[in-house]
Amino acid sequence: MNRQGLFDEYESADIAVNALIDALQTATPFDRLGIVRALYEAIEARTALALEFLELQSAELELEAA
Amino acid sequence: MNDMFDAQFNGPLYRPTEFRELRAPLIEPPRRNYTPRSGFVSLFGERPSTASLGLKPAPAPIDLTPSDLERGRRRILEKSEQARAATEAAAIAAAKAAIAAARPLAPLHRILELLRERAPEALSSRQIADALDIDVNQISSRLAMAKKSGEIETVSQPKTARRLFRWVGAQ
Repeated sequence: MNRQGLFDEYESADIAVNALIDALQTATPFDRLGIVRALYEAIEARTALALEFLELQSAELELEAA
Repeated sequence: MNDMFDAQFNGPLYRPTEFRELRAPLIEPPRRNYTPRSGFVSLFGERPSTASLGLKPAPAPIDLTPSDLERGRRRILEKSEQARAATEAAAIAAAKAAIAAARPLAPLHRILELLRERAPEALSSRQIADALDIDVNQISSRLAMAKKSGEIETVSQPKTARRLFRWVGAQ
């Protein structure tokens, strides 16, 4: 996947995180627990994509240098 | 009783919580080429500036070095750690609110079952015990009694029991 494609995926994950945060604002206590669980997973997914994006940048730099 | 229990859970709205740490972007978008295509040159005789076309000016070229990337990686991990902490705080707050709502209306084992179903792994047994304002061992003994009396059927299933006991800190 190219850099733009990966960033788009990251952006989707970011949108999911923000949507879950928005959902938290109006949820009832017990619903909130479920949303927090989903949020936790979404954050992990977003982090993984951000790191992958950075690794891709790093690989591109190495290619340029070679 | 069940109606009151459900009404309580579906009733009051929760106060908004700030999640600035979670909303902060981890990475910047890749550079996009805002320079007009060369076709403009033949059409207009000269290359128009991005400003004259009302476009966002192209960002300055970024010369990333390996150390920049390492800094970026550290920043992402740091931000993610903050996000985890914020989420855990939200989980604890939500659990406390849910327990407070449930406690007058439901037996302890029912509350624990609901927590087991819905709460994130981040919530430790001690945090649950603190929220319930009881000792961790007390939860274990209450659950053991509930299991013995047949109140908690799910504990008879080994996998579920392990999950449940992980929640309450028995093992």
